[in-house]
Amino acid sequence: MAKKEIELKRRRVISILLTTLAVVLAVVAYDQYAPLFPRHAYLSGWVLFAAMLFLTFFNLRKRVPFLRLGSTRFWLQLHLYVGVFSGALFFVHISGSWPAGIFHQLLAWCYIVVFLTGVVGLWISRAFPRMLTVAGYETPYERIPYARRSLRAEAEALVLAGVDGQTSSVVAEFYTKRLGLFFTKPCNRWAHLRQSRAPHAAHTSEFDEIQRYAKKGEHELIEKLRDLVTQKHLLDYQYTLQSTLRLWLFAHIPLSYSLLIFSVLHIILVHAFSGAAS
Amino acid sequence: MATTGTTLESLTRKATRPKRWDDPLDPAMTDATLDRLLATEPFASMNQSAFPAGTPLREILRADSAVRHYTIGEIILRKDDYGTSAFLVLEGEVDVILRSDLDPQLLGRAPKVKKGLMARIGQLWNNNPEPEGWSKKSPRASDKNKGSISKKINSVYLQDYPQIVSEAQTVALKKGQMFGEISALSRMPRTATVVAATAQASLLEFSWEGLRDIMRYDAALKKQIDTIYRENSLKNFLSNHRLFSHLAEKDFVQLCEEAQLETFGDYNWSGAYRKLAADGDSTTFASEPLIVKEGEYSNGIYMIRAGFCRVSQKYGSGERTLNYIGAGSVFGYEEIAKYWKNPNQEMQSLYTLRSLGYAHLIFIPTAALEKFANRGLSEAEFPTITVPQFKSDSENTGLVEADEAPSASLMEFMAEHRFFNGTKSMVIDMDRCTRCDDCVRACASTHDGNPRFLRHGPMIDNLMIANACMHCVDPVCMIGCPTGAIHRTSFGGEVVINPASCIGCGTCAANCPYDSIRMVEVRSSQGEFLVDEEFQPILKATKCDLCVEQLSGPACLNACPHDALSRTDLTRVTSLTQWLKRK
Repeated sequence: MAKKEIELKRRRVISILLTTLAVVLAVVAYDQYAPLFPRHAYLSGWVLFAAMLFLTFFNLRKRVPFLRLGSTRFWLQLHLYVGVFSGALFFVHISGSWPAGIFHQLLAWCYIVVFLTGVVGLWISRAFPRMLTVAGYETPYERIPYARRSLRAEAEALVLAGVDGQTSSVVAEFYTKRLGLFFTKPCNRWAHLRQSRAPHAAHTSEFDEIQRYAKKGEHELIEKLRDLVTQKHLLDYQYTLQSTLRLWLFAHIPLSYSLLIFSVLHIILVHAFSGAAS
Repeated sequence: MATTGTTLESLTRKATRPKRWDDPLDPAMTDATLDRLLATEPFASMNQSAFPAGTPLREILRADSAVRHYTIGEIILRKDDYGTSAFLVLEGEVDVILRSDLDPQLLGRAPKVKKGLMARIGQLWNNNPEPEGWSKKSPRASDKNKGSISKKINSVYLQDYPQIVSEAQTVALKKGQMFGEISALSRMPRTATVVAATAQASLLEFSWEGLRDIMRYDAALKKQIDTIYRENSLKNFLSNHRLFSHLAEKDFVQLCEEAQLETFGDYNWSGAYRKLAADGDSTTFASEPLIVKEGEYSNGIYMIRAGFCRVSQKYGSGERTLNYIGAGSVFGYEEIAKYWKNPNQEMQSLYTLRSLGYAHLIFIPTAALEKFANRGLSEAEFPTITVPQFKSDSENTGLVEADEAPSASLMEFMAEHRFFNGTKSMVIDMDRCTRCDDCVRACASTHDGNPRFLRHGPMIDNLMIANACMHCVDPVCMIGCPTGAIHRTSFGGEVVINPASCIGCGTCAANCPYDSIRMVEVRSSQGEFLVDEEFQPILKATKCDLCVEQLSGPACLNACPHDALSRTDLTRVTSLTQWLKRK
């Protein structure tokens, strides 16, 4: 196993070195030889298009798990390294300057957004899983609405059980004013994304406060409710991070296909008018 | 309802509910053959009135037996294959080959039946549009595993028989003798290869369900099988063990006489475990039958034949799990061997041994061990158990585990959930898993649109054991299947369900202690739910089959882009810790 670990590390180092070398070579070659070859943009453009096609195939490969095309893990590694290399190619292709014309600017923006969503996605994919594990209360994404409903039903049953119909209950009032909506829908998305515990701390203070005014028999109820609120915060945290882990792909993948379509149009236009240019 | 046209009738279609006797082992079994069998021993002397009216002997034989004919050299069963059948010699002779060094090629081991390139690509458009849809033509035509239970496909001749095996290396079985019953009943691999030895050999093949039912109502057969076990299986087992492989024939006989067969726990342990788990009491040592207590005099060794045991040691006011050991392990030898080297040392058991669920053990008393064991073994060759190397840390009051050792909490977790049973458990590193469900989608796309596992399950730290079939060493799901639909494949030993013979009774799903088998409602290719006369849905048991048909192996494993998923052999906990330490 130790041998396998070393082999994995060795492969990773080699891949990073090769990618760095390819990026440096592309930039140096552009810097040194671009003036000698006025039509160098054709070469870099076609290589960039091939790279983009290859990058798009990653998503298609995931749809055919029954074909022996190598593991998806291997494809993801290639996707990352080729993606980085495509950045250098893009820089070379646009000759380091912002393109003119609305269509070319749209194309460039499209590429940049795809590249950046890729980088952000990579960071999310590496960072969020550990955060989710550390937080606990692991719940499959599809089951979160059900878990939320269950928590809400449990909380409402608790509160109703504490209402005797004669004296006013601070717990029932607190639930109605502060917790009713909280248990109904996902809350505090931005706070959870920022890893902030402020909303939970606020609820804790409020619980401490109502504890002072609650009847003696309500203290146990309050503690149970406090536990449910903590669970709801954890569930919201799971929901926020898990939905982000999925949502970034909704930007990255459709834009990738748009980029590919724009690139085909770009190629057609360039070749259609290449005679005039030359 | 009427305006939208969605009535119960429009959503459903009538179908015949499968029954216990629907899928006999031999559909061609005739009444004449049954009459002949019932006049043959051991059935002739069985008291038929002892069988309940619902499962008479005749109907058991009709459903769960088949007369098979073999010619000389034809392999009936092969060593290391998994099988759920036992055989009774009706005519002719068969040879049990004792040689363990036979070339696998000679045994006709063939590659697994895998989907070809076109069939794999065809999955893109050939998959049923509805999950678990049965085609109109034949509701069971989707069965692709039929080959694995078809005798004809696996029928192979041993070339140049009997030249390749001399007479001294075989044991002949004649009319009235039975074989294969121990592995069929104990769910263990075959211990020897059996070949037809005469030009015509007729055998009665029993499915293990049939054998189980007959044993339940006939005490004589039960006793006979016990005797056969002692004479054949035990001898075969001990002769292959390095402690006794040097013995001469007469010593073996004596050793087998002195060996004691002991069974602890319940054969159907999953039911008891489920009850304990439901009561939140699955971790208590008290519920596990004690076999050896730490500190007591070591009066022999225990060789584990089937099932699992927990090895623990006193720690504080409780006990800490050090390891769980399964078939092939030997407990207690180290203490005795060290005493042989240093008689001043006390011969006390270092650990406590308890049965986890069901355990079948062979006990060799110290006196027999002193007489027959190979005492020339070096310490490295001792049949010992592996325990974590805990060491004290002077600066810390706690304990520090060695690099390769699993943590104590992981050991307890594995024992508590009985995960040591899994040979291909789906283990997910939740620090890497992005919850993308690519694994689930890959599984669905290779299995009729229905994923065969849940990406959810018990967790410890960053480790999740998902609800996927673990392809257990001791597959308790196979107990009680009335038709034998759930079985091991002949080659890899994966536990698979044959949809052609599954009647949807749910016994396997109820038996599985890990909730890895799901009963699904079957649909027609048009999406209608198939229901019986009483509008009850027709169900089918589904579970992970480890993608036995796919050349690329388990789709879930290949689909994970983040290397977060592994199919790990949890019978060796070190394989899990090693995988977790990869970075």
